[in-house]
Amino acid sequence: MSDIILETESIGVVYQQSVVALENVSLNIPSGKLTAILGPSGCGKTTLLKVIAGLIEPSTGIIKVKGQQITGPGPDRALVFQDFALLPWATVLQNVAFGLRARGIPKNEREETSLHYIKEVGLSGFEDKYPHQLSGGMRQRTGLARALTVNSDILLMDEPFSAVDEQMRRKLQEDLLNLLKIERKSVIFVTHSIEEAVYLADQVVILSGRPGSIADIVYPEIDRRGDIDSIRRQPRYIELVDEIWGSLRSYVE
Amino acid sequence: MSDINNQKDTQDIDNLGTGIRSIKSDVLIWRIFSFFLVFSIWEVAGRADISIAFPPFSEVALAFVSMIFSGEFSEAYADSLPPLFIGLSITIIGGVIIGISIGLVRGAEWFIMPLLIIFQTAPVSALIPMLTYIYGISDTSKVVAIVILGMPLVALNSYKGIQATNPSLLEMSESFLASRLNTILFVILPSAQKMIFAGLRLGISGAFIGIVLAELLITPTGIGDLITYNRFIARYDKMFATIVSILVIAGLTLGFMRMVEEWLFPSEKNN
Amino acid sequence: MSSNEGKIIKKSASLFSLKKLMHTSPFWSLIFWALVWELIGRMGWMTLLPPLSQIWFAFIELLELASFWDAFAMTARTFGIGLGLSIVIGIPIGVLMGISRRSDKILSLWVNLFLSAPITAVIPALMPILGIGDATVIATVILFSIWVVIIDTQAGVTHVQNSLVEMGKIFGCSRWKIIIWIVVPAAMPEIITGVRLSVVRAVKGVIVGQIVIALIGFGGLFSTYLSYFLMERFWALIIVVFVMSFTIIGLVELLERRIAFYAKSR
Repeated sequence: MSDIILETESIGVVYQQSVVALENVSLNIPSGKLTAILGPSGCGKTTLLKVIAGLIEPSTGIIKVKGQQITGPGPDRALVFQDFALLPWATVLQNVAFGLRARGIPKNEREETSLHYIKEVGLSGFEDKYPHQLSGGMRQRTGLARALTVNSDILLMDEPFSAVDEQMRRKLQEDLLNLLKIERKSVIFVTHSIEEAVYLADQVVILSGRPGSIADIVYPEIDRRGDIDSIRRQPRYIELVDEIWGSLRSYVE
Repeated sequence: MSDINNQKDTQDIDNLGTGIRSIKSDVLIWRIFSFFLVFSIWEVAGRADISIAFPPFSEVALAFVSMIFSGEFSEAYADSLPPLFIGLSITIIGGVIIGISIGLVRGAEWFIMPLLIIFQTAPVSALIPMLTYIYGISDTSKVVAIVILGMPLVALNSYKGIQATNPSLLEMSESFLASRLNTILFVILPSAQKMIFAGLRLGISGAFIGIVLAELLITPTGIGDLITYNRFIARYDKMFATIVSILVIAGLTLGFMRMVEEWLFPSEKNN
Repeated sequence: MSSNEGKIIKKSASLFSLKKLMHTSPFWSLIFWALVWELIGRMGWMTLLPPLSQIWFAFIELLELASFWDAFAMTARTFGIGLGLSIVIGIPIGVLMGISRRSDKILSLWVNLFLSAPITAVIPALMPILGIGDATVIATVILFSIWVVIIDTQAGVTHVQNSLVEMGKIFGCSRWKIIIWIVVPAAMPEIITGVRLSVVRAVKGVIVGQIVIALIGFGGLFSTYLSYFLMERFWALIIVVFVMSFTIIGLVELLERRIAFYAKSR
């Protein structure tokens, strides 16, 4: 049983005194594993992620990282955005180095570190390109590299592959799994795709909407050590997707 | 653990990009506060002896009121408003018609465009002193001044509005076999409406600059006379009051135009 | 005549058709109007409109006059200082109004008012306070041009992508860093557009200011040439001013285009 790196205790978020976005969300995020937060649109999963990231203050409840309560963004949590959030006037290298620059790391050092991660996400050769010259998949790799440079223990990903086409999406999922074999991160991954959740996650937290609360927690226990291609063929994978879809249907309809 | 500024300090940055707009009742209170703030600063600055020619707000306000009741304003505006009204009408009606025509008639663009661009960007006001030589010291000069400063802006923006019609809407209209007239009336003009009104606002601003310049340079009757005379006798409070009255009238006209636009084409984009 | 010959004649006729002319660059339209001007001038229909060729000679004359260069210097000086101040003061105010809802509520009323108001009316009030010289013209330039800078900067700032600001917070940027590293660069396309529009207004401002005062700069020269009926010089000067105006605006447009590359990928 791995350690718990992040806990959310009874998180509640209420807007304008009446709209309940999240209600009583209590979670344990295991260290070194990928936890998916899955749910239909509007169920509050992005809100939950932003609370964990420290961008939104919860109306009730607290977040603890390694036992310490957090009050805002911190060096222990990095975020990968759905719309990539790249500076359009900066090159890939400058974008990836942004987090380090914000910390005052000198130029040489931060460029070195950035180049390392640019290579790791498969963007070698594109260091001097601008975002408008890149495809969606490449832009997201840039966002991922940026998140990796700051060496946070926890990687938060907000539907990172949803703005990308299907083929690219699969490639990115595979590359992410390969990457996580090298980089030992704890990942919280928000998605609305059941397949993606089962494919990637060690723990799937299913959120139902209005108000957003935990409906179920599932542990795929899929063997990812071997050939990544074969994951989607494992019977367990197919079963789980069906199962989860079955229980989610009632929320969507 | 990184420490961010407390919630209150970052509240402003939080609001950035969220597109949160204020509630209507709120706005009125802030507007009143804003007026109060500016008038107070004016009052203090006026009393601070910066210059004898800079009267405090209270003096100007008093002069303003007294000039209304003494009939000075009504007399002066009776002189100045007719050419303004004529000039504005020509600017608006002529400008829109010319602008739309250029947009619709394929040949016209080539001829008229350089003229419009010149009139829009170049300081046309330099030509105004010349008007007296052509039209003498008369209301005609004033009307021409208004028109050359206002109409090009109206025309150019109406033209741009027509040009900016979404091509796919035009294709749609064609596929439904609409006549050219119907396409103009039901597709092109409605879609150009926003730019036409933007042009009207710019044109009206320009027109007011025209009338002021005309009043100051061509013939100081009416309002121009009030300004120059009071400056001559060092009644700066009255001079300021007159200037404020011009600004108020310009503001009201533009506000009226905005109301007309809202009434004719209500939009949901308002805050 | 066979139908083939008929077709050939039709084709050659269309080569000179008006339609082809219409599709050429508007530059030729300018040449067209220049020719019209020359013609009208030569016919002497309007004594106020001398032919373009004579105006050209007057222009050469102007270049040798000290009065012209003094006026030019004055115009350039007051324009530069006034525009510079408008930009340097206007951008921070625009950023402030974009970020702080409070300041927006207080200031937007006045900014919008002065944006469309006939500032020209205020010039007579400035003259007794600031005198008949540089100061009044500079003040006029600022009053003409600053409002556009403020409004466009504000618009650029309020439209900055949410996620960019969030990204800044996530990576630990302080408030100031977010403003300077993220918000202002992100708003740059709108800011430059605002600057371009303010240049147009500043040019109008510097000329109007000089004309109302009528004793200095180009305004003074216009007044002199008119009173002595030196129409060739008058028009030469008008064209000089127009050309100057276009050149500056053209330069700003170049700058705008260089910045535009990233406006699309936002």
